[in-house]
Amino acid sequence: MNIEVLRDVQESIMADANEIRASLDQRGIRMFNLMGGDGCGKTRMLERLLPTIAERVRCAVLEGDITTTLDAERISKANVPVIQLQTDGCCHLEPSLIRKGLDKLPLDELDVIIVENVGNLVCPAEFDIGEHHRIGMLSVTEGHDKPLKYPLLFGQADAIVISKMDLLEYTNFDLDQCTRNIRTVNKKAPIFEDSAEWHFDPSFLDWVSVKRATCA
Amino acid sequence: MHEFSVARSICNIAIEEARRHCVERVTGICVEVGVMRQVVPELLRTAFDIAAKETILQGAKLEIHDVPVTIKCHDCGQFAASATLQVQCVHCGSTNIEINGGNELMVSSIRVAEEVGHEH
Ligand SMILES: Nc1nc2c(ncn2[C@@H]2O[C@H](COP(=O)(O)OP(=O)(O)O)[C@@H](O)[C@H]2O)c(=O)[nH]1
Ligand SMILES: [Mg+2]
Ligand SMILES: [Zn+2]
Repeated sequence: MNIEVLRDVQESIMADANEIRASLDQRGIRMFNLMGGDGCGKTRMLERLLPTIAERVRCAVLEGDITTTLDAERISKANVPVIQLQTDGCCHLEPSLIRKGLDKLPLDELDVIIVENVGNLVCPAEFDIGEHHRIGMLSVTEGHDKPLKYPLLFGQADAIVISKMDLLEYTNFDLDQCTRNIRTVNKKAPIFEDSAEWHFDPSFLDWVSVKRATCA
Repeated sequence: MHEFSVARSICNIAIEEARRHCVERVTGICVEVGVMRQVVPELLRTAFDIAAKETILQGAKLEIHDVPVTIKCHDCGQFAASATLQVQCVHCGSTNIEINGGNELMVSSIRVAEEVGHEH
């Protein structure tokens, strides 16, 4: 015989994620989940971003590299707290690992935490880690079709960064087509163009550094 | 390869439900999987078989039901349901479309051999 269940497979992960979000809310901290393919430029962007926003917000990074500490070492040069999350080969981050990272951070001294997720366009998008905002990143060398191929990641993003814009002229990446593809899966996320050779779009800096009101 | 994490969660839920109904053995589990979730059925089945080993779920059949996405065309105004991701309207070929739904990931029921008594 059949027993009706009707329970969401991710319910316990969502409960953990909600708990993390609530505890961050209480401290007025905003957490960002930075997601994109391997090599799309996540770490490079953080290396530039952290010194740039240091005057506006107090920032820390959770680094979700699979096995190495290379990215954490690169980020630590920016003089912000950075914690390496060892996923032991796992393709994505889950709330349990995020909590371990948060426990090591000076939470009372922070406004913003940026999590660099594991480089992968599929799995990380499946897991709520307790973030407030998701940033989806796509470099022009990956091709403008990727928002359609990975609709979950780009569909649920609260902002989308198109990176490595300095390489645009060397590729057949069609920026207009990419924008249309993003809009097919995501009606409202702001789209920011970026390159390691440029200054940041000021509206992107504003978007990242808006302070969160503390829940008293 | 997040299928392993998904399989583990499915097993936890199924075991919990079986216990709640005082069931000793589960023979089947029905899951609804939205097209957008990018779950690979074969991988999920393999992962499930591994996660189910030496539990009351061992040998249970995992039934995976695909939940389609709805596609709304902004040009011809028509809707379509699709079991695969589409980039174009199936009616007029327009790429000016909106994709909705298909985000389900749910254990809908479990099948058990015995008659079920009362819940605790
Ligand atoms: N030309 C160019 N190269 C970039 C840019 N951003 C990152 N890279 C390079 O791309 C490679 C991968 O970048 P990384 O930040 O490690 O990517 P991650 O895997 O997403 O963290 C590195 O060699 C970077 O120097 C960019 O804007 N332009
Ligand atoms: Mg990196
Ligand atoms: Zn149409």
